[in-house]
Amino acid sequence: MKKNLSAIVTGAGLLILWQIGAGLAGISHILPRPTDVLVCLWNKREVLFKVHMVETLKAIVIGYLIAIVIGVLLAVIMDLSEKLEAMMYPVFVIIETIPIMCIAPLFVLWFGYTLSARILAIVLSTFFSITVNTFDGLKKINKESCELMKTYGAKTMQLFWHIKLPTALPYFMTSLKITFPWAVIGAAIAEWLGANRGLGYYSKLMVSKLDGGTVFAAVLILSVIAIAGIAVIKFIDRKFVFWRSDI
Amino acid sequence: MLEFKNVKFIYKSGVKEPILENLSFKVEDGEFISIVGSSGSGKTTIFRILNGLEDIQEGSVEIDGQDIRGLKNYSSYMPQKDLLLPWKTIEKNVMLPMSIQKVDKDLQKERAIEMLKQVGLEEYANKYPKDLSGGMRQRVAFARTLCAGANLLLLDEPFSALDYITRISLQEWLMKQWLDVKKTIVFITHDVEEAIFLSEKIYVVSGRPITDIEIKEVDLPYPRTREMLLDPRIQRLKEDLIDKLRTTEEEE
Ligand SMILES: Nc1ncnc2c1ncn2[C@@H]1O[C@H](COP(=O)(O)OP(=O)(O)OP(=O)(O)O)[C@@H](O)[C@H]1O
Ligand SMILES: [Mg+2]
Repeated sequence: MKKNLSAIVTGAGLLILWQIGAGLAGISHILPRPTDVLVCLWNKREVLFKVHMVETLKAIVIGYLIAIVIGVLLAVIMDLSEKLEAMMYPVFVIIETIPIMCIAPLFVLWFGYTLSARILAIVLSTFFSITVNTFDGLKKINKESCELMKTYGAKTMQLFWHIKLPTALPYFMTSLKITFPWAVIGAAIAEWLGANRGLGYYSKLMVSKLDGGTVFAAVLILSVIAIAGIAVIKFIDRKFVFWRSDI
Repeated sequence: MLEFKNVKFIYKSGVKEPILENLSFKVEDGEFISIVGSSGSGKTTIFRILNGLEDIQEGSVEIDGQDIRGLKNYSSYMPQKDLLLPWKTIEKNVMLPMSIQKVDKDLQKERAIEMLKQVGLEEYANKYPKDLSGGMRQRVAFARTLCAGANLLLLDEPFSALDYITRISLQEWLMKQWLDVKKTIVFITHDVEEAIFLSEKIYVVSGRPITDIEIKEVDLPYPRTREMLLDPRIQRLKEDLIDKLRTTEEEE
């Protein structure tokens, strides 16, 4: 609580500095005060939430779910076959370090101003990390537990359900905590590059209209989406994946 | 009856020298046998062979005259670490061997509760391993071993990681369990006193490779008490065993 309190004090302090500084600068169309941002958020609430946030959320949810499915499937496949592991794992570890967003403009050339282009950006910016982390988790199984299971006569599938998946789950959850913000950023940037709806698109539009307050309002919503997503993931993690420290 | 007949065994990885060579011994049904021997001599290896985790190169291992390679669920293994799965409740952990063997769900639950009662932990059925002490976890691991349904229990230093007081109370507890369930128990230990207190016979293994086993009978009636260990005969047996272990340790 004390830690939170000091963070709140720092945050509030910065906001007050910003408020005063921006007020003195007097260029609220490009450097709005926090209060201007809130006013814009309120005035534009209809478009911001009902049109653009919905569009962005749609891309995030679809893209992220696809990334999770692909990520987990690839991890499982690599775990089942040493050959595929040798072929794919090193490549993934390298691709993971490439800033996918730099090639996102190409997606727009491939798919045009479509949802698919944005979904592709989200999937590509997140699934490598999900694969690599989940795969590492699958490899963390306790050999002795597996042997004990074999003495009971366990088959490969039974080992997988009883030992492998639960061992990998904490690593998978960690990868979600890391990658969810990337999904949000990926969605916003993809919208910047090629969309006619969504918070990223709208904030770019507002930059060209010199409406700084609304730009910040859109960014504020994006941050809240990222923070809320992580909070949900953390909640699920704490509630259902309580064995992290016992592996 | 369990019988090793002229068994030779070499690990495929590591040093290519035999661990067991022309080794023969028997364990009768219902006996409580302890295996003692210096560290690294091959006691766990004997269990791994019995479990089917390792394949022997020569000879045969038989249960009631049948080669174990054609048998299933004849033995249950309890390793030194409890290896309870932290994501499963105590009850689910105990049910695990039955769940692997696809026993009927209701029966699994019924037997698990019965076994937990047997080890005095039925009120912990829905708790998780992290909620239990080391001694309790070891008892749960024993219940799980019983649930594998075999008549031959292989216990590999199950109490060695516990503190002294917990250990002696679990020794007394295990003796009662054995008198109750009347299964064959083969028990590996480093602790000579533990071996004497619990077992009818002590099998001393030594040498590399192990070629034969020296058998010491413990001539004490059951149920045993700690005071019985003070008997001068038993003290002599204990000194004798310690001497044996020490000389084999020095040879290596
Ligand atoms: N999987 C394995 N592959 C190769 N060598 C092994 C393997 N497991 C054990 N060994 C070797 O076999 C020998 C016997 O090991 P084992 O574990 O059976 O000894 P132990 O009597 O149980 O020892 P301890 O009392 O320390 O548990 C040791 O020298 C060990 O290094
Ligand atoms: Mg051992």
